[in-house]
Amino acid sequence: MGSQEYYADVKAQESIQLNKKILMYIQDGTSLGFGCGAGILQLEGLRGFGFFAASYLAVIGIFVGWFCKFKPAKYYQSPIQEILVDSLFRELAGFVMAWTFVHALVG
Amino acid sequence: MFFPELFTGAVGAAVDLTLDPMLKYWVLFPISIVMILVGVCRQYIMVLLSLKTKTVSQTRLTEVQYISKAQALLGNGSNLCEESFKMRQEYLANILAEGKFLAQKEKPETPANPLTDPNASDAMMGMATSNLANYIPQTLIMWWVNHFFAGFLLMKLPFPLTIKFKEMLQNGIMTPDLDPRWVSSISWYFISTLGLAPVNNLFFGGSNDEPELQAIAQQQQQIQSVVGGPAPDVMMKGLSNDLTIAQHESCFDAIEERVLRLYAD
Repeated sequence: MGSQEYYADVKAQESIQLNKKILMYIQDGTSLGFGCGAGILQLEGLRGFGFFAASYLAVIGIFVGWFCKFKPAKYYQSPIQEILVDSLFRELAGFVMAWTFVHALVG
Repeated sequence: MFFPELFTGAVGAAVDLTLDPMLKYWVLFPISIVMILVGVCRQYIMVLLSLKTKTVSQTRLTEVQYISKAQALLGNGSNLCEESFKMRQEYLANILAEGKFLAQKEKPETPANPLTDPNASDAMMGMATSNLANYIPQTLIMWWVNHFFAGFLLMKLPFPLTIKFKEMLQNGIMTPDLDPRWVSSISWYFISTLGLAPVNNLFFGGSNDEPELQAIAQQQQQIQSVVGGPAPDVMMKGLSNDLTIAQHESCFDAIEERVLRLYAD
């Protein structure tokens, strides 16, 4: 019964928006912070990007575990898309900016 | 001939340059601060520009609201019980078919010219100003950076770049063999334009009035008739037809089962 399943699948768009906003705030802050860290450690080349990937995945892992209690589908419409993919390039750009800035300041 | 040149290029790249440490304080910081401040100013200017309230005649407002009421009934009718849905369906279908709340009863003979219509030109002005608010600061900052901070290297990027970036990022530095990782100030401008969105969100993104502004903008967009869109009387007729044939299925059917399943685990 299609419509019954549809009615059972009630989602509040406002709450999903708020959840996305919180996630974005956390990701923005942590990617800038880890960018500064990479600059202070004077990482160069692929090691810096590896540091970004590791920190990005770690933050998402902690977020899913701590905020979502390992049930991200309960808080997001399409969890992988919204948590992992959507803000990847935004955070990468922020990370690279903080990284080059601190790298130039320290080095 | 070709290989030795390439070889010296590789040797030249390995040479480490020493930069004046004061470059950080007199070039890197000013550019960053100016970019952040311009971002903030642009945000507030956009708010100021978008807060123009427009007066709309009451009849036009009624018309728009009855159209959206019919659309809401079609979209969310399953939340009503059978009886109330039937009641609303009948009423709205009648009203819309009659065209009781049409703002303009008789059609104007020629379609309105979008260039002379004040509302349409207002909308176009809004679009133009928002575009200009994006482009003017960018061009200005780029000119400023290129003009005042040209002709020297600013820093060494922590990641390697291909040789293609040399022309763009080492603009004005006459060293053909230098590693493209050494870049001039314009590249810091590029990197920070890309990466400033998280910074702005972090420091200035906590405002709570965003949803309200969006709602206002959406409402205004709804009221302004789209140029070349369907006329309101045609829309009303179509909605009336849709309403008369709409099938109703209530979401309250078998709700006990679904609620029990929702809280089962």
